[in-house]
Amino acid sequence: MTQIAKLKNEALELLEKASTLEEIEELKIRFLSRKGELAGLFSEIPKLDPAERKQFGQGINELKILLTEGLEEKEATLKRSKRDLPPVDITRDPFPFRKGSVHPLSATYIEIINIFKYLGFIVVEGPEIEEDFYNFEGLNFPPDHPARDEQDSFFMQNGKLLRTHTSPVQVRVMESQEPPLAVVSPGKCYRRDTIDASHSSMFNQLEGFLVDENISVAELKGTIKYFIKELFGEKKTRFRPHYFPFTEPSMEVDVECVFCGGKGCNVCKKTGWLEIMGAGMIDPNVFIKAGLDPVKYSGFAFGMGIERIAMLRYDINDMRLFFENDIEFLDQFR
Amino acid sequence: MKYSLNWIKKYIDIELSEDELYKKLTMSGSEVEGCHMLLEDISDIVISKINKIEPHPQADKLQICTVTDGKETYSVVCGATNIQKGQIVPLAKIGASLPGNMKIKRSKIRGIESEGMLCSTKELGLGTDHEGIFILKSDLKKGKSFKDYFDDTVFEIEITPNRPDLLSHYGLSREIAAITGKRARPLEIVDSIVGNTESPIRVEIRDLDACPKYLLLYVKNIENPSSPQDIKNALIAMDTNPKSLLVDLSNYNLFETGHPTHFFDADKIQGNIIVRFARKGEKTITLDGEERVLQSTDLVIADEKKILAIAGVIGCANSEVSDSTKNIAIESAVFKPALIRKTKNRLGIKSDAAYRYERGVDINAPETSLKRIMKHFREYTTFEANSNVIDVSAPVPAVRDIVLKEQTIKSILGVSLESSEITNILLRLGFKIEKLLESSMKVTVPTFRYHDIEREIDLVEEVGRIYSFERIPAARPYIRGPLVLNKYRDFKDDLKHVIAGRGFHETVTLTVSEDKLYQSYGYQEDMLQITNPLNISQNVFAPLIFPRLINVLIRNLKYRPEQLGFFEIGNVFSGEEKERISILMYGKRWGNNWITGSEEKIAGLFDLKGELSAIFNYLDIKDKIEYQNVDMPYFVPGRSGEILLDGAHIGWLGQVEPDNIPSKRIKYPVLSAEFDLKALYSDEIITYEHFSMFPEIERDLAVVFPNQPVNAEVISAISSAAGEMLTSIELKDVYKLKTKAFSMMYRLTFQSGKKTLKDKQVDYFMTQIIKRIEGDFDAKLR
Repeated sequence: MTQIAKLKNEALELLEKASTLEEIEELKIRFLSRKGELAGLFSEIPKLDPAERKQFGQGINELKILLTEGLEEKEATLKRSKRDLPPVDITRDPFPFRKGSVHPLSATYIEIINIFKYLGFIVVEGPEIEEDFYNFEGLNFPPDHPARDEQDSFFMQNGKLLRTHTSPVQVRVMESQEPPLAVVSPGKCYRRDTIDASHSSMFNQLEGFLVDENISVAELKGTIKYFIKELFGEKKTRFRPHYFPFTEPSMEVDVECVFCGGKGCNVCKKTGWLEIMGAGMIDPNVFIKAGLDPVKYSGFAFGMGIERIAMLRYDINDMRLFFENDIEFLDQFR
Repeated sequence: MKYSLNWIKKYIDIELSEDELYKKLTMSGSEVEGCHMLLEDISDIVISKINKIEPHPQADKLQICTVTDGKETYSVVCGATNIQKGQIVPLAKIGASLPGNMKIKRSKIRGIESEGMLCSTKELGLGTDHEGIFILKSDLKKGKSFKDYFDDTVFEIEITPNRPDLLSHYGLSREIAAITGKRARPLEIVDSIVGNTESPIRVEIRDLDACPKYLLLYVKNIENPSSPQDIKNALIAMDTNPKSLLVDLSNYNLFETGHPTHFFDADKIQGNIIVRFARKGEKTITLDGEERVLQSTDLVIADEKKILAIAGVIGCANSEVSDSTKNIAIESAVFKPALIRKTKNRLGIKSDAAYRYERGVDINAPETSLKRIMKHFREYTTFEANSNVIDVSAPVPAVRDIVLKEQTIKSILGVSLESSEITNILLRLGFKIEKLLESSMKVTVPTFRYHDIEREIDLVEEVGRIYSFERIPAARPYIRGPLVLNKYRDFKDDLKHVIAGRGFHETVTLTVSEDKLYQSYGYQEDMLQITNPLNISQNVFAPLIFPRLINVLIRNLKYRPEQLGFFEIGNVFSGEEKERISILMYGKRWGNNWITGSEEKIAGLFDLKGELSAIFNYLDIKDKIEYQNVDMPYFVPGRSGEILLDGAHIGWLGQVEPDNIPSKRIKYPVLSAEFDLKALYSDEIITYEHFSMFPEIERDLAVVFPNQPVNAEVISAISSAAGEMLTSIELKDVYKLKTKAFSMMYRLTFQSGKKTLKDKQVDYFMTQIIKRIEGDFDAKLR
């Protein structure tokens, strides 16, 4: 046993002193090679008293592991120090790069659509240059009715018009597919509005509708409440009766003001509520125009202004910012 | 529409606070958008009594009044002639405010100090009379604020187009009654109108569809005094200036009942009244002094010589009631909404009458209005005689009955309501109900709701909104398939992030824009014009995107003159509507900093092409994309090209012609690419291919071409000569020799999927390639 202890002391001392890779290599050969000193000790085993053999063998093995690990570690340290790279200051500027961003309206769309996708809605897009039938008539807007006043249209030289809302997609989908239908439809819309802080001749909407058997206001509320909770967090909502030609009953949905928590501020005009969408049960006339049976099917539809929601989300106070594309504005988004 | 709370309270007792009332209205579908006090500009006006009037020593026309508010007395200089001792008058004390930012200060008038001012109705914002002081009723209490008696709350409601029945104070009172469970008092009207003279004017309707009802009442020798203060106050709350009783009553009736009436000076009507369509090109001058040229779709009220009014829209100057009017003829009629709307829109006339007629008036309102006006006449004026009501009307429309099933309420609202609850709601709203078998009822619609209650579903809405949608429990729907996912939308959203990640800012610019913008960059095709643009800067639907990105660039050069990049995805119209993407790159690819030192890299066309390649690579369509050198009007000659996908043109890229860019700040190349988006999307699933484990062999090929060759053609020649072992070709070096010749160096990589290639084999491929290049391009190996 003293043999092992002696060898151990000697080897560790040499390991400690070694300062080059060559010395490490020499130590490896001297102690660990097939003809090295540890191997020599192994060959002593048969000469020993059988009672001591086991303990002696274990002692050598432990030393072998100790030396191997020690040598490898030292070798690695010496290798790294040999490269001799100067340290860097990682806090300095990186190589110049170009920063980009996704427009806040796109980001808002993605956020909203993801919520509805999770519920099982799919996305369908429709044309911006639309026929009167899909934009008005198919949605139960009587010709020459004041309901059209709120949606002052741009008429095109090809006899079509620029859609004033995303609702035409409702008619297009219902015309071409049998229920069940669960669709959201994002897109640009146009109205003859002079541009100001809350109006623009072009704006973005998201339409949604669910058509199946046995759909009622209860399902409408469940869907919208879930959506609002996902988008704004736990907020109070209210469903306020309103009028749209293509839904009956119709309502507007208000959410507790996100700025004042419902106490009343300038943004919510002291009401404590922010209107965020229109909704309602699809009018039987819309089903009939699209060729669906209003007795068999019922459904709800809703529509929201994306600018409005983005303004609330990002605390933006002027709608024009979205379309002016100032880099100082865009840069604030990812 | 605006409402006066005092006025509403004439018909209904309101026990709710104002806030509660507004909330109830809002939550039943009539959103209250705001309210203000009528006299919010007024302060410190008190009711006072004139104790003494003395002449002003320095001025004949002025007097010195001693007035008291019950506590103190004030000496006030006044020029009005209608005051007498003992009268109750409004006194503006020192420090009082009046409309128009007027403040009452202590002042001397012709040497005599005045401690305030006695006010006329005009000064108080309550009328037009500024000559005389506003003499108040003698029972008003001295010392009380003037506002206590005369102030009013004016609130505004967004009345939706389906509820013309709410466009009046009485109509709204009826609604308030329904939502609060109260009853509105009936309007005070005369029982009947019995004539004691013959009307000299008869009525003829040419088209009963256009004008289903026309009543005319002739009144002889009527006095036209000024209206009582009560009516004046009501009109002022409606922003309408009181004029004279006859004019005021027509307005008052409109705001009270929602029914427009028209008062003609009967002596100016020649012969009988004819309700007819105008002749094309027929002209008349309306009350506003404008000459109107009419069309054959415009309904008019005419006599035998001329047009008296454009039906339901506006009267004409020729038959207007004036100070000299003695005999009047009152029209109370119903016109077809769509006709009125067409005419008013074409002529661009906004009138309170047209606003109500285009939405639809109650078929029974004409009689009520005349009876109401007659009641007012008896109260406020004198007249010699009146005719019977001349009534020319189409047959009364049938009573409207709708069957309502309780099951329909449950299936649409999602909540079971007791039959008694449904009945109660409908009764409060003025419907009549007869129970039928099997949980259903026959509902009779009151005439004032004929314009929006036509079907069972309309009744469901009525029940729902009064019951309150808030009380309906929410339920998450179970959404059934089959639904096909729209991966194209995901692809677009994904792409936006990829491009943004490469250093471009996504923009959203207005698609409705000006044709000149696109022309200025060289677009030569016809554009899709907007026939009714708001202004000329928005007269087409855009055929391209990139000119708008250049506008964004120009706008932003002031913030970031050195480096900008933008992209936009949007629809364009050129022959058809399609979705495109445009990418703009400008300025430094990278600027100098502590690493690059003085070195910087200005982005050129191949930097943009690199970005495109990265995008196409990401979309896994790199191998399907080709480029072709093509000159285009948008770009610097020789610096643009087409992008092809599977051989089909999808767009282009180039260096924008700097002469076309209206900015002096541009100092670097403006690089633009624009292409169709839908073509890039593929739902093909990638098939994994086994990759080769065998070593690659690289060979360089340096060739001198007599002229600059087209790289794509050289590559195509090399590929077809090399065979399938050639796995990549990279252009490593290009330089122009002193002659016209070009030297190009390509690095070719060969690899087999089955074995290790031998040099000999590669030598053979190279020989084939060189032979081909020399033959095709007259080139020489260097």
